[in-house]
Amino acid sequence: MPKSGYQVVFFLVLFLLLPCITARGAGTEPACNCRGQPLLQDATPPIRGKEVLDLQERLSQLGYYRERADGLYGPATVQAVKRFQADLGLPVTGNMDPATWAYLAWSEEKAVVEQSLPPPQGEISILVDTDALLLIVYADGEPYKIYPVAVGKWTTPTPLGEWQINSMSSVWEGPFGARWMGLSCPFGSYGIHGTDNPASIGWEVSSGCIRMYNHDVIELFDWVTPGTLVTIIGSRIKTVPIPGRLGPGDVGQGVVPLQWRLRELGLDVGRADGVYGKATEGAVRELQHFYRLPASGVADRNLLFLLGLAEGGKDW
Amino acid sequence: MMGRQGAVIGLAVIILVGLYLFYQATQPTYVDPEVQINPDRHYTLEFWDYPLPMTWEDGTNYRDLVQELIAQFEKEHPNITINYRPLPFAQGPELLEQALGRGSPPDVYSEPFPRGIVYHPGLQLPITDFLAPEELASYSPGVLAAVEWEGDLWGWPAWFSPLVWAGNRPLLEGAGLDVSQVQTLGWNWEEFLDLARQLAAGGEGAGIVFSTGPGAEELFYHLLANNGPTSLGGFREEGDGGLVRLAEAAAFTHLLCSEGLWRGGETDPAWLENFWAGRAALVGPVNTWVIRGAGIRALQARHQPDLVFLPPPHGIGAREYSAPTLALVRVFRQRRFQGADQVKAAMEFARYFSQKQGQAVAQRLWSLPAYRPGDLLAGGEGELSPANIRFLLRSQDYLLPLPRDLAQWRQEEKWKGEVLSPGLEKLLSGELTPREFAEQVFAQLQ
Repeated sequence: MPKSGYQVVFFLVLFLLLPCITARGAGTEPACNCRGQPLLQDATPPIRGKEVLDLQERLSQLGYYRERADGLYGPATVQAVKRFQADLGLPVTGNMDPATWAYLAWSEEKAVVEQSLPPPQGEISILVDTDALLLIVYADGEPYKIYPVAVGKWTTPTPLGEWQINSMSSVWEGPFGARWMGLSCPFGSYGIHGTDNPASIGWEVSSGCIRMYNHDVIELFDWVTPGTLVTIIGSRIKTVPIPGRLGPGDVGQGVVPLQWRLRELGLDVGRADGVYGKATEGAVRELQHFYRLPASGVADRNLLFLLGLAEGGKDW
Repeated sequence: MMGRQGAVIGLAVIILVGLYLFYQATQPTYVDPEVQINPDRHYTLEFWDYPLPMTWEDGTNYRDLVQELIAQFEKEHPNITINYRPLPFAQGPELLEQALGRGSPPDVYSEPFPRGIVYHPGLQLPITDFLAPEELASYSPGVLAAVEWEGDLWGWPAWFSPLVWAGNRPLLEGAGLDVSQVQTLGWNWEEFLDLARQLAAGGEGAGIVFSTGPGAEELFYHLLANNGPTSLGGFREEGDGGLVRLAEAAAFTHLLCSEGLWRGGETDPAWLENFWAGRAALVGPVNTWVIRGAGIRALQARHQPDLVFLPPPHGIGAREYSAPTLALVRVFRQRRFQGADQVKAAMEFARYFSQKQGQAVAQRLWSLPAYRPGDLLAGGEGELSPANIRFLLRSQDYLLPLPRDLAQWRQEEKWKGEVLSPGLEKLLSGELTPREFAEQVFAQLQ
């Protein structure tokens, strides 16, 4: 096929894939900040970098790349990608486009897919431990299955708190992998999703979302519904910046430690959802009644100090 | 004929029902303490309580404690079931009043902040005869006196804590205060004023921090209670003597303000932090558990200032009183009397709960369990200095009495809000002299 023919096929494939890449299921959240794998293609001069090196190692693991990994997207790499695309029935372009990345991830995971468990019974909830990099599914409060995950980088941390799944999509999207489950976090768009880079699982590398292997996220997707509770914990709670005063209407990560501390004391704050709503205000008033402080419902510096949440007195 | 017979029978039924209802409603509040719980009857006791926001090292909180105590009691009394209802602080007192109004209060009502001794003379039951003589000796006379009215005790005291002034010893001693003497003998307003002046002269930020919230009436009321009569009603009853005492308190308050030692009504937004960082010499009046809550981390980190508790300063010639927090567990009967054995069951649970709960929470609050058999320790053991613990023990001798009933409590609150508060505003702005303030307030108390 002449070169112009390849270009026609490439754009045709791209056109066909476009809805899959951009479309989202009904009711999904706006896209989070997670970035997909880069588009790698045959270019002059050749693309060079860590991404290429990672790709070569991954293709090598699957038996498609047989040269020494040099980080250069040259003819050997292009041929390896073409062989892979041909085997998977993809358009043979030699370019690492979103679909190829996704299929690469899928192929890698096929080797580690374990036998699926039957769906859990009872009330399902999820705990994500950002320290252990694990996602644990609970059925009626009992652990049912544990998955490895990737979470946010230090600079783009995964939001700690108690969220609910508020959108679900089974459309395969580049960086989101096989499934997307949006979280109800009010101060950013975050979700639990699959990945086009399975090698990232087990690391703090995302933009705040929780990444899972695609076969895992597919299994999990079928077990949850909109409204499923997702609790995200981690030692980073100790370093969450807390303003010197928190009051009704405040929204943010800084509200969550206050909500958790109030609950620890036996006060009802509802969900620790980062929103200083009626329940949090009521709990603060209760505490103020107990301490015989003016029952304003506002967590001022004195109250935050009492709770060990003020700067200078922080013990979390 | 039948019609007349029917009318007679109907009338008889009405009379009998009326007599029964009258009998039910006029059952005496006295219940024979010798009455026995019927082992063949199952009792269900309604129990209301305010969950105290506190935790223990093992991660349990107050609600867990209550559930554990209830479970233990039910295990020991298999024919008694406790229905526990946790109340919010903000609405609980009103919920109780509504229940009393309906004639259906809970059997047992536990509260940390009582508003008076007797809430309902017909439905609240005295505990006097249910206290065994040997048990009586384990309660402090000062605590029992605080819940006594007309020769009866109107609730099981659980724990109590005085309102204190908390100080940093080095700063206080640096300003020339004999801390040990004040702890044991108390101090008067002149000594307090001298200290405040010394501290103020010593530099910004190391002075006295008044912890009262917006509005000056709480601090003034606290000072007033330490200048003779212990309530506004008491000042009124004292006549001219009361007027003089009121004017003295006003003059003292005015002096504090005019010398810049107290900015009436303003609260330092970081007074707790300043205190524990050693930047404030004295804070008050405060509950012991506020100081503990804020300072426990500092205590654990061994960066604590040399903490001392001091009594409230009092007027010249007056004795000191401390407004206590005195947690009580009350027993009620319902308008529809459910029997003396039901009361006995409620008394047993109230006794059990007040004694166990008082001991369990004392350490977390730096308070004192009201029931202290043998050598039972006071709260704060291991965390407070022996001198502070001695001070806490001594405080039970100067507890401010509770209002007699809800009517008296309401009257005092009304006076505070409608008479004291606007009067103080004028006093602190200079619109009224202390004498004019006292006369105006005194006239409105009449």
